[in-house]
Amino acid sequence: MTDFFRKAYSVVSVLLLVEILAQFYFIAAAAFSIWLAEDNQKSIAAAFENAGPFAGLHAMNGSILVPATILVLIGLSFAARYSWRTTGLTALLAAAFILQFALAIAGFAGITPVAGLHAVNALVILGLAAWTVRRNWAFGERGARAQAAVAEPVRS
Amino acid sequence: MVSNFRKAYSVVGVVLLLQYFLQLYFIAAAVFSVWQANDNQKDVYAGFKNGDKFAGIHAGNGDLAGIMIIILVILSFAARQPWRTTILSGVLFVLIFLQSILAHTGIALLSALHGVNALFLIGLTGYLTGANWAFRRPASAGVTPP
Repeated sequence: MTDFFRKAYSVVSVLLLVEILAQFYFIAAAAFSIWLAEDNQKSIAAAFENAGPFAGLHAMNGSILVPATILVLIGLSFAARYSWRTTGLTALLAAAFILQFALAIAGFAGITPVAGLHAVNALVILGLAAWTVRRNWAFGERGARAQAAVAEPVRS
Repeated sequence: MVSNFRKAYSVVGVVLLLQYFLQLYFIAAAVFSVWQANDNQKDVYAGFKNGDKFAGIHAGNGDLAGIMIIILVILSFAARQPWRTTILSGVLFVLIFLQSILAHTGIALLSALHGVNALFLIGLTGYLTGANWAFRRPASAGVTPP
């Protein structure tokens, strides 16, 4: 059963990585919709409207799918009986996400110098997510080795 | 001499990573400048003009990152890094060249890959800097404690 949850943890962490990559894609598509337009009031306003769906996808993916996936990942790290270090770092994803949300709110409130950190924190989230994939990969040879280690108690 | 070049390679790798962080910061500041505006033509355009300053810094810093990558490739030769490292440093240049092309395609959906390619650049630079870090303490193998 633990093996099943460890594999599920790996699959969900890959899904989280894909969602984060999609976030970068959507917001870049929104930005380019505007910056590729002609530099006049009418064109920029029209481009802003065209960019809306991409920004909307970024907001929806970021405020629903990503946090839901992080919560599932935390649940799976408990179910898979991973070490407290792994579970703690998975929970750190949730903390980084809350900060990400706060930075976005700062951006919409007009605190641009702080809001710029939204993208830097995104990189921290991506790094943590990549770490969870790499360190806890439960398939193939590494998975078999990890499964053998499960026979020993992981948590104290 | 080779040791100094290896150290220089590490330093340039770190500077490059810092430049990438700044790139993300500046472009996020540019985007937020537009999206924080009230939803009318005048305010959106004013927001765009404000954000364009950050976008300009993003573009300038991006060009600078290209130069830093060329320096990194030269240093990887000078430091007599393994061929794999030198080739991967060359791949960094290919990626930043692609990054520049993606920024100017004129098609938003294609240009958006600029944001994804940036992550490959950051990942590869991080890997090369970490794998070839020249400031590690040498292993004290063979030293017997008194």
